[in-house]
Parts: sequence; C-alpha cells; structure tokens
Amino acid sequence: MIEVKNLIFEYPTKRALFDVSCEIKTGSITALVGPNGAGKTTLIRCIVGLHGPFSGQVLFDGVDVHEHPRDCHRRMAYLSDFFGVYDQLTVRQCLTYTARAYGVAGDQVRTVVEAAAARLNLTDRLREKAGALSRGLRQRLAIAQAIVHEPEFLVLDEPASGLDPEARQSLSALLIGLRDAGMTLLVSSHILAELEGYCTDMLIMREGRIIDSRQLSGGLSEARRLRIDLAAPSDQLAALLESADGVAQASVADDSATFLFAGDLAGQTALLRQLVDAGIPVAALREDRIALQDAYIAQIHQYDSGKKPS
Amino acid sequence: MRGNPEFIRNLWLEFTLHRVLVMPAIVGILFLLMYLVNGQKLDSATAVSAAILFCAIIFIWGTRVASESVIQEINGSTWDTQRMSAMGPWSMAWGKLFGSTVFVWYGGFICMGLYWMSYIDILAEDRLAKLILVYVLSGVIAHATGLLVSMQAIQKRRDFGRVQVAFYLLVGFAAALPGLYIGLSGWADDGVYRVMLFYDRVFPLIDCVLIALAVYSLWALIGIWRMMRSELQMVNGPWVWLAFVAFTVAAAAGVRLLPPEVGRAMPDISSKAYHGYAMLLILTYIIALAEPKGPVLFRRLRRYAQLHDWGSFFNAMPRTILMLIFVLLASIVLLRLSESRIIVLEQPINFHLATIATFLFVLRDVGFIYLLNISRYSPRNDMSAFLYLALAYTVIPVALIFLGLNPLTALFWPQWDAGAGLTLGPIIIEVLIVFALMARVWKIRVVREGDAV
Repeated sequence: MIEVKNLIFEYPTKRALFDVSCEIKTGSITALVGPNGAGKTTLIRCIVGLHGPFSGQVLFDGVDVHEHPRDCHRRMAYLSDFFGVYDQLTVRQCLTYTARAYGVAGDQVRTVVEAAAARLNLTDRLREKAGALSRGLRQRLAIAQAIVHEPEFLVLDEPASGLDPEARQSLSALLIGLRDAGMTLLVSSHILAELEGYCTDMLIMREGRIIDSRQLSGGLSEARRLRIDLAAPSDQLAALLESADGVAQASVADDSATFLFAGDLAGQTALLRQLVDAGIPVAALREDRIALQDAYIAQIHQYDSGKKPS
Repeated sequence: MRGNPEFIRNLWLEFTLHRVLVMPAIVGILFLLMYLVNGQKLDSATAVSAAILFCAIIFIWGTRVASESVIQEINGSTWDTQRMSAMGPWSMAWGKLFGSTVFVWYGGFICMGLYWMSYIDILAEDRLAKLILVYVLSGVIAHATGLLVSMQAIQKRRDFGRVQVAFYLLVGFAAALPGLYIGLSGWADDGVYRVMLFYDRVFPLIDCVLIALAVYSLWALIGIWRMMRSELQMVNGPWVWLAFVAFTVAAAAGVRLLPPEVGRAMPDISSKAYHGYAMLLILTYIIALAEPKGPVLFRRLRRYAQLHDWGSFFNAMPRTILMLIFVLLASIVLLRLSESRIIVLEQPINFHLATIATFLFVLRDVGFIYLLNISRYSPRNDMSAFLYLALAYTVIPVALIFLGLNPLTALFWPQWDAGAGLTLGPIIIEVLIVFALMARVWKIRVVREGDAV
C-alpha cells in the first residue's frame, strides 16, 4: 500500500531522514518505534504528505503522495501526537466539519458522523462541546475525526500518550477493529508492550534510518512465527522447511529453526509429523512470539555496535 | 459559499446567539449616545462616529482575526487536520478570509447602515454608495493583506506571539490606508470627484481608488491561495508572482507621482519608465525579504541542477533571482530611454551613472539578505537584514553628512551628480565583498555540508 523510496529530509539545521526506504503492507498494523529524535514523526509527516522531502518518493498505491497530495489525502488520515479539536464546537459539529472537509457527500454526512461517533462510543456526547471533554474523550473525538471519511490508511503518532490504562486498552481494541474493517494502520509509539498486542509488523528507526523492518508473529497476521528446538543439528531441515507447505522465511541454526507458518493447528500437526517422519530430531515445536521490546533492544544494540543492517 | 466547510465552521464558531445579539446592542448603544450628544440629529457628526466604529471593528479587530486565522490553527494543533483534508486551496483561502471575519463584517455592516442613515439627507446617493464601498474594500484589503503576510511568515516559522500578530495587523492596515485616505479625501469641496491622470488620460479619482482597492483585494486573495497551495505541499511556479509584478509595474508606470518640475525635466516615456522601475525595485526588496531562503533550498536547487531537472529547478528557484534579472533588464531599458544628464530643480542629475549605481545597490542588498540567510539559521534573519539596511540608508549616511564626510555617503546611497569613480567605485567594491563572502558561505553551507550529510 505504502512504498517509501530513498527518502531524504532536511531541516534547516540538520538532516532528519537518510535515504529511508520501507514498505507498509495493505491490511497491516505497523509499529514505528525508535528513540526520541530518531525521525519517526518526520517520516510519518513525509508519508502523509505534510513534509516535502529533499529527495525520494512516497507512493500510496502507486500514486506519488507529494505530486498528488489532495488525491491521497482523501484516502488517508493522520492523527498527530499533539492533536487539537475545536473546543467551541460540539462533538457533532466537529465530526460534521471534518466529514465535509474530507469531501463526504452532503446526504451522507449525517450517516458517517453517527457511525464514527458510535464506533468511538461518543454517541451520547454528540451535543457536548469538545472543550468540555476529558483527555481520553478528546482523543476519541480526534480519532473519530480522523476516520469519519473511512480512510484506507490511518497514521497515528503516539496515540496512547496521556491516556490511562483503561483508555489504552480500549484504544488497542479500537485499532484492531479498524484493521478488521479493512484499514491499514501505521502507529508510532514509545509504549512497546502496548503495540505488541496488535501490531503485525515493525519498523525500527534510529538516527534518521530504518535499522530493522520485520513481520511480527503472534499479532494479527495470517502467518505465525514458529520455532523448532533441535536435540541435535540437522542437515536436512532447511531443505525440508523450504519445500513444506505454508512455510516462509525459514532460518535454521544448529540447535533451532524459526519460520513463518501460514497454516492452522492441523497444518502445524502435519508439519511436525512430516519432520519427525523425516528423522529430524525435533525436541519442541512452539510459537515463537518475539517480544517487541527484545527485538527492539537487540536491533538498537546491533546498530550501535556498528553492525548496521543491510 | 454554502458548500465551503471552512466557511461553515467559522459561521458555527462566530455566530452564537449571544454574539448575534450583543454586537448590534453595543454598536446601537454607542451610536445612540452620539446621537443624543449631537442633539438628536443625524448628520456628519453621527456619520463620523459610525465610521470610527466601523474602522475600530473592521481594521483593528477584523485585521487581527484575519491575521490569526491560520496562526490559531497552528497554535491549536488543528492545522494539520485541515492540511490533510480534501479541501482545495481556493476553498481554504476564501473560507478563511471571509469566514474568520464574518462576525466582524456583521458589526461593520451595521455601522455602515448607520453611516448611510446619517448621510442620506446630506450627500448624493451615488457619492454615499462610493464612500461606503471605499470603507468596505479597504476593510477587505486590510484583512487579505494581514492574512497574506501572516501566511508568508508561516513559511519561515511556526511559533507566533502577540508581537508578530500586531505586526501583521499593522501591515494590513498600512495596505488599506492609502486607498482609504485618498478615497475619503478625494472630493473637492463642491462634491465633485477630483481627477487623476492615468496614462495621460483623465479619470475620476474615486473610481480609480475603488478599482485599485478591488483589484488589489483580489491580488491579495490570489496570494493567499498560492500560500495555501504551498501549505498543502502543492508546487507553485513563479508565474502568478510574475503576473502580479507585471500588473503592478504597468499600473505604477501609468500613475503620475513625480513632482511636475521633475516630470517636465524628463522625457515623457522615461518618466513612466522611472515610475515602473521604482515599483520594480520596491517589489524586489519585498520578495527578497519575504520569501523563504536558506541552505536547504539551495542544496535542493543544486540537486535539481545535477539531475538536470530544470522544471523543478525553475519552480523552486527564489523569485528574487528572477526579479534581479528583471531589474537588470529594466536598468538597460532605462539607460536607453533616458538622457545622460538632466537638470531638475537646478540640480544636475547623472541619470546613467545613477541608474547603474542603483542596480548595484540592489545587487548588494539582495546579496546581503541572502548572505545572512545562507550563513546561519534564524527566523529573524530577514528582520535583521531589514534593520541593517534601514540603518545603512538612513542613520549612517545622515551622520556622515553631519560630520562633513559627504563623499563617504557613496558607500550608502547612489550618488546623483558625482563622477563615475565616486558613483560606481565604492558600490562595486561592496558588491564584490558581499559576493565573495557569499561564495565562501555557499561553499561551506550548500556544497560541503550538502555533500557531507
């Protein structure tokens, strides 16, 4: 859906993005993580066409976002970490304005406004002034504004900051719901444990560069990452995994192997039987849920110790 | 208008029932007070009080809200939502200009109604209608200019305080003042319009003022539209600016502003050319100070040049560079049109040398402005440059004259009656110094730092 190609961005006093390339797949929830100052917000603002890059391209379904910003904006939405709402307007007015601003047809406005309010549990607040809402409710209103026109691609920059645990949990549920409804999401956050619950992919940034891009298992992706522990090294394992149905991205070591598996539990049982029948000394087969935090820290350390990824 | 979401949002914000009632109440009470003080008569005294109320509401309050209309979105973190919307730049431009000021106009039109009531038995209807149009169009131009200048500033910085807003308010008011003043004072005592010469033809002054106010309000709105396009990351070529320059220079050339003695001393064609030339210089300084410029822009231009992407290069190129080319061409035309030496008010003027010196001074000043902007990053670079140049053209040369060091003023002013050495020597040296420094800074900030990152 989104293809970032060799993006370079410069602020007057420094370069913020160095030749960044990455991809965001349709239907994914991609976590964009990295320390403060890594360039996450700059990358996000370039992706949604709010910053013009020094060079490089951002393609949204093949359309250059910076050459056709308005065409792309109709189909995407962005919620900044420092979002604002119009305090003097009611919730209904805020949503109606946004719907009209995004070009929703006049006879559809009422329907989409009420649908967005219902999705965010704001139906009983439609007549309240935005300025009278709590921080959590304002956040919900801001998200409702962002999705009122049913965008295909939603970008959220630090959406959970300032929310209490209950509101964060409901935000997670909401993002999963949006993903199930067909939206593609890009979420930047510092709270890795929270992202772990729903993200399918992860991009790690440091010093203006993408230092790792990976699909996560266990999230909502169709494929799960499985891990085989071996009692002894096996020469045949790599070839067997390569030829097995539903297996991808296999990585084999002396004592273990990991791979993405697209099948269900029955398929997993069949795969295990196939390996055991072939004489592979399987000690265990289990889901390899990579802790986001561990992956992140490992990549950061690897980058800092000079082993920059290719 | 019904379909513009930005305008409708402003209507929701501005027209609460409370405000709708309070505005006529306050204006009415103040006017009633004046009416009672005036012996319960409607005449020029009550008309003036209605006009003062109009000016306070429209020029002070209105220009402030117009100037702040985008700044408030930035400060309230709602600007990104608007920039991400599907609204076009034109809808946003007029939606903001007329939407943010809609309540102010509500009060303004009430004042103009009272103005009409006060004067209707004193002035002819057509004159009264034209007077009201002068007020209204002056208000539009003040608002449009305030918003335009604030949006131009947004291109350079994203944080604003009261001082900046007060500055935009002043600029907006200054843009409206000439039209307002001439429009209101452009009648002879017998009520007949004064006239003016435009391209040697006689026109009623008031009509010219009204047309000028309407046309420049439109130009300001076009300017806001271009700024909106830029905010929405759309590419803006230089054509609209060049059209504005051509229009304004042509208009200025047609207006007789030089004192008659000077005008008589010059051939007619060069008199017109000098008017246009002077306007070209003013616009060159305005754009040189106003448009964003810095090492990142020049690194980008350098990249376009390396890629032979001349279309992007031309679109991104500072308008100032084009203006310098036009100033050079205009100077050459002027040299051909004007006499080498003329006497004005018994003062000999060496036109040719002065024209060459003027071009060199422009080159020096623009070079200096760019030198500051390329050498360091600061949102105050242009204000600093403006202050330095203001000092260089006023305080320093005046002080030199008082000290009896008149020849040294050649460093600061074009000389009108000196020899070639004194007229051109100092300024050539200054230009060389500025451009040598610029080359050095360019090498470090654009080439070396651009290659390093």
